[in-house]
Amino acid sequence: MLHADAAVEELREEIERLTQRLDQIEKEKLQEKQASQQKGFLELTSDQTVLGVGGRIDLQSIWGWPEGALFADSRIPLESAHDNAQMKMSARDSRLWVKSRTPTEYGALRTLVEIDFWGSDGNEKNVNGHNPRLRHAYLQIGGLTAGQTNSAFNAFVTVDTISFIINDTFVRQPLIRLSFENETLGYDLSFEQPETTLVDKNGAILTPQDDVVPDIIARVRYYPSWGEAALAVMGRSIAQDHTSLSDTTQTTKKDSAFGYGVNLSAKIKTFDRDDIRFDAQYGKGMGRYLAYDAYAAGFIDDAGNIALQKSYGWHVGYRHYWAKTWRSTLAWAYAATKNDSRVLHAKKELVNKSASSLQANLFWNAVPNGLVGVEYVKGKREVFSGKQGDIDLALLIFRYDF
Amino acid sequence: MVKKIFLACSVMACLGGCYREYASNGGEVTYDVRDHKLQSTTLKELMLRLDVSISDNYKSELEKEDTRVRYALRLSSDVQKVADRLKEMAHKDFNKRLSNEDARIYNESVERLENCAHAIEKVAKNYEVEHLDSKIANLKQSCVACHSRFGVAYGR
Repeated sequence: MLHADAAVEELREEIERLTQRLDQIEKEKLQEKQASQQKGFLELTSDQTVLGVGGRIDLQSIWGWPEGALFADSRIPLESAHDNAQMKMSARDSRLWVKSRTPTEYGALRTLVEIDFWGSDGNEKNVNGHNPRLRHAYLQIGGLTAGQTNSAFNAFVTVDTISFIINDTFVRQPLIRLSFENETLGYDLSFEQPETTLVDKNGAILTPQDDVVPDIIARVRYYPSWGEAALAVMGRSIAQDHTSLSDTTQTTKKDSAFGYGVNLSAKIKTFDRDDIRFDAQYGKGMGRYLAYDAYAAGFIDDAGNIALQKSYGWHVGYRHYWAKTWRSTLAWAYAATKNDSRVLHAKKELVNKSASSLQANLFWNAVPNGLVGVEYVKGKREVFSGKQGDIDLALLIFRYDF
Repeated sequence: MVKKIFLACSVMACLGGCYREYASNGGEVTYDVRDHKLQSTTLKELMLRLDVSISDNYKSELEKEDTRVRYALRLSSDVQKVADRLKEMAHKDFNKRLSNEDARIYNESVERLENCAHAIEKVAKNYEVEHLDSKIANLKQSCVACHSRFGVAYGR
């Protein structure tokens, strides 16, 4: 009996001791919370919102022969250009983004705002204060996307290179997109910002600002066991209404035309982690959707008549993994236009005819999300006067996504 | 990244190993060895894609999330199929050749595998990609625990 009493007493003491310990822990937690509130805190609209912050540090060093550090069809200098080499270093492709996720009755509401530093140029003599530029600002909920982000007409699969591919189909713009997903297929119907660009007799690219109908893009994405593929079809209205030409005269009439484009891209797995990627596009009046507007959507004559032009391009790239952290891509690309000479009013040396590129690189993932890479690029361009030009670029990159 | 690839290989090795044992055990082969290998290869591919999809320079952060979610859902679906197969094996005659204790552990392991598949699916559907790595690590633990219990004893 005495033994049982002692055990009960011992248990009481243990409970007392644990109770005191619990009180102490709770007190410490409260103090910690108060201390953290005193140090500052982040206030969100909803206490269920998850906020993510990240970005990229990116340094590119580019050697170009002849001079030129931006690689795109219309930037390749022609034969008359000076043959000087130029070296440039830039951290402008560094990025910052903020994303959020909030549960709602319609599923997760996600948002993203992202900037880089390709805004207006800073002074390279002293402090290189390049300005920020908006890349993405959009929300997604259910199958709805609204805001500024990548166009649905963009190549769904892209090659793994530092520099642009010569037939890049890449546009970021405001859009409203509806998406439907199942296990192996995805469907997108996108209504995107229209922007007509036309070339006049002086070779100037005009933006009449007379668009009233959004560009409409339908895309099917396919995720089979052998890789990924997507087919996008675009329809757009190209319009002008008494627009001003580059010589300050005004067209005497308004006109419009229907432009279209088809873009097919795919990635096919080959051996181990290797894959082959390709992208091909064709269209009439694709204009700014191909190669950063290097090939005119169409021409406009003095009266205001629009004549849309056909353009096309393709690229193929093979990515090989030498080891888990070492990989290379060899890519070849071509883009061209079939301008109708009967309506080619512009000065022929100002109108691009075709361009091609060859890119080879070696990347090393030194640390997770970190990349060190070197790339060699050979690019060629021809204009309608017959003049040609080429460029050689060597790139060195240091990149870390945090 | 190295960690994820290691996890992918572990998952593949675990699942592939379990299947091989049973198929070569002399009993009724209810599940072809080739199926095991195909399924393991699929899982490996899914894991690799979860890992390398982030290297796409053109995609936005949410597009990268979408890609990871899509492959995570497929991973979950494939792991569930594996769990279904393991259950099927148990119902046929596999459990009869185990002691009561081993049969209990086997059934618990299958249940744990299913739970892992459900956990990955839930996280993916809610776009909680920050929790994906830990759920996949749980999957790996589940595979390793089951295989270390049964893999050697019922090996080739």
